[in-house]
Amino acid sequence: MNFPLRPPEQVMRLDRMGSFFATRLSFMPSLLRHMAGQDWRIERIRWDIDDDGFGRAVICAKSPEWIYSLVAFSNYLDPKLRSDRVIAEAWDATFVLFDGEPSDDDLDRLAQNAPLQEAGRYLPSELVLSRANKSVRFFSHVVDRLASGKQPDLDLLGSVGYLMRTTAVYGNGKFGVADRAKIAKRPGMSGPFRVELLTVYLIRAFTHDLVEHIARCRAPETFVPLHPDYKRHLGIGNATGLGMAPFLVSHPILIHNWMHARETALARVRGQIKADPERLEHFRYLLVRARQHVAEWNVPDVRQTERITKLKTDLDTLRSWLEDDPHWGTQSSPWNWLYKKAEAELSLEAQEMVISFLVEVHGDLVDELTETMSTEDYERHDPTMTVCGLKELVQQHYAWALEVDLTQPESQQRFWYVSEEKLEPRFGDRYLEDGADKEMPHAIAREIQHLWQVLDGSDSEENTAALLLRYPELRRTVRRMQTVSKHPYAEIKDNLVAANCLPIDLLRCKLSFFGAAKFDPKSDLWTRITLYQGAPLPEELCRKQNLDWSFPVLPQEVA
Amino acid sequence: MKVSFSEIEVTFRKAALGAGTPLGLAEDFGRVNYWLETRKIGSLSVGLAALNAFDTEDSGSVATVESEPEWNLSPQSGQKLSALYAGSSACDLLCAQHAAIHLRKVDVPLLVLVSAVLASSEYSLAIQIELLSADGTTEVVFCDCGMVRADAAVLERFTVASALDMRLIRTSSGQLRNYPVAFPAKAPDEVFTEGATVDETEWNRIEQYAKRMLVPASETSRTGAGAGEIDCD
Repeated sequence: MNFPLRPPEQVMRLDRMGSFFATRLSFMPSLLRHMAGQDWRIERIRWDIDDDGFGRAVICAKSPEWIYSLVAFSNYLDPKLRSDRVIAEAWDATFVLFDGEPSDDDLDRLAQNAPLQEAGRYLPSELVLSRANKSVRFFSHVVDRLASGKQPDLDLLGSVGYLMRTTAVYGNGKFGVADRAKIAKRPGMSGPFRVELLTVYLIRAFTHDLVEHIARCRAPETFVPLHPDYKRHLGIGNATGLGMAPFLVSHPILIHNWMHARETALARVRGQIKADPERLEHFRYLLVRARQHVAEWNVPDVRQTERITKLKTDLDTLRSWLEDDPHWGTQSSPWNWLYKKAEAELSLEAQEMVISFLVEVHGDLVDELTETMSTEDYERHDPTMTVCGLKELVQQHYAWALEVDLTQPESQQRFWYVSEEKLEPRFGDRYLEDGADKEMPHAIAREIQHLWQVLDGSDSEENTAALLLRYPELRRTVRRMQTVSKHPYAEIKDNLVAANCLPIDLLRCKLSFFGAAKFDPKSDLWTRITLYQGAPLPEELCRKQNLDWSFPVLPQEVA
Repeated sequence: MKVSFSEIEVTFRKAALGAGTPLGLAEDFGRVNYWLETRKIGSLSVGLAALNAFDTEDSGSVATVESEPEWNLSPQSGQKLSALYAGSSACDLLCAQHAAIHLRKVDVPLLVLVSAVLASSEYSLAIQIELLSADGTTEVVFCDCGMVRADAAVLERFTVASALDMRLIRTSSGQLRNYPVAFPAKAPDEVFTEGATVDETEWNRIEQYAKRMLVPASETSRTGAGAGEIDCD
């Protein structure tokens, strides 16, 4: 049964996008499924780390055809210099993902550049550049405990969830590393951000090895290794700021593909006439696990705390529906019934979490959609379209933009720009700050209204080519609109320069597609997250164990 | 120095913006320079020449448009026609079923040629490009669904030409099969293993244009970056 996709007018709204959770289509779980399915092996081939944990190491990920090597440099960091901001200039550890196995000369060259990060230069033999800082308090705690023969405190493990957090992961040609075109056709690397998230997975393995190494060196006689259940719960933290937000605006076809795959997955599940008992059981199991996951999701942010509280209530409601009607799964189209009930009665976060459940239990039905989530295409315009045709597109796809009242100061109060400080994107106040003359092109509603005025005053039979000759400043707007007409999930249907715009919603959306969990907003502009928490360890990946790791929960306490 | 091809595309796009070109044309300019570098034709100096000419107002946008008997795009008197505008505009018009476009005094004809290559690929067109020299000679190159068909000597004329008239004419692929393929539609895979080797001085000059779009940092602007007091622990 073909079920219609949710319309872009419903999906592409900031409040909903800011409520997304990871699904099994997200890039981390799909990468790990691929690695497990293709018998990838993770091997530590070099470990020149001293007793204090400083030095260099190389960890290889070996696919049947290719080898990717994480080159890690662990350095002493003056506490005064430790910062998660992108403008930092020193870090506890810096990393490069090298294409193949690096020679000694390669390592020496990278040792001169990787610790400098953006200030260094790299070659096409490098695929990704990254860095991370320790969660100092927790890292020290884990070293102390393991050295004294004990496992870390479970509460602390739960409240932090990682040993290090990355503050940037650069790929696709940044600072001279290889262009995506070099690897895009390799098995396993065609999906979005695959090589970047492989890097993060290997960084996680490095942090596990590093903390154990330091503890072992400190007290070899009493040392115990991390228990695998504890180790599995230790992901990689990430501090994400505004750098990610413009990406969603500047890559419309890619964003469409992500959203379209997700919505197609939901539609396929809703279209199922019957539910297998195994899937029903899996769904109930996921709900139990997710309730515990949410119970363990504690953040200082007031807005997110209120949302989590509501989510807990909604998950209780969801459970009550299933318990009140034990036969709900035997009715026709049970998944659609469940989704529609959630949409009608639950919060946005709960609705989106239900989607994650539905998609999770239908892997056989949806996993192939991950192949549709990348693109090598770019925006094109159709010079033959008439002004009349362009006007129809505006009305069809940008009615929301025409409704924005630009005479109200708050409708354009904010502006996006790039600071000269490390090229960091920022979100300014148009009426208080300089730089609006250099703003990034995110005032979509304003651009569309300008286009509409021009179209209104033009001959309806004039073609786009002639129109753009007269108005070259409209070239990008026309191109974008014509692209959106073919890729309806390409545009966020909200005003991104309005006073009430919350960039954190953009970050959450993008990070959910990465597969992030435990969103921990630190303001409206940046968030911490956890990556790969609960994910299989390298040795488990080889054995194809623990591949069902959505909504991870704290392990049982180990003596 | 080595740079990636995406750095070339992005930096040229930002540089064109910094020089004052509208974003849509700046995007086109980035793609044109990506194409040039992945085919190892010319060097950064080709794109840089167009930026410099536009920035110094030696070149300008399309000032005069005549549509009869064929489309003529001309710059202001005393200026050359900037390739930043000429290539995209001419290709738009060709795609929109106009048979021939005459461009007057194009500052960097090679960039218009690449615009035509990209348009021929995007819209599955065959385009004949004529370079009209002051001495009355005409050099001809064909863009055929993303391929460049020409003799090496003719292409060489395009790489050194400046301030010459050009004609772009729609033609059909079937007539072009006997012409040699100078460049296939797809960039060779090995270029992405090698990266682009560029002149550091030229690269820095392009970056200077791009930096015009950056906003100086201030205490106020740092609050817009989102960092709170607890940015590490």
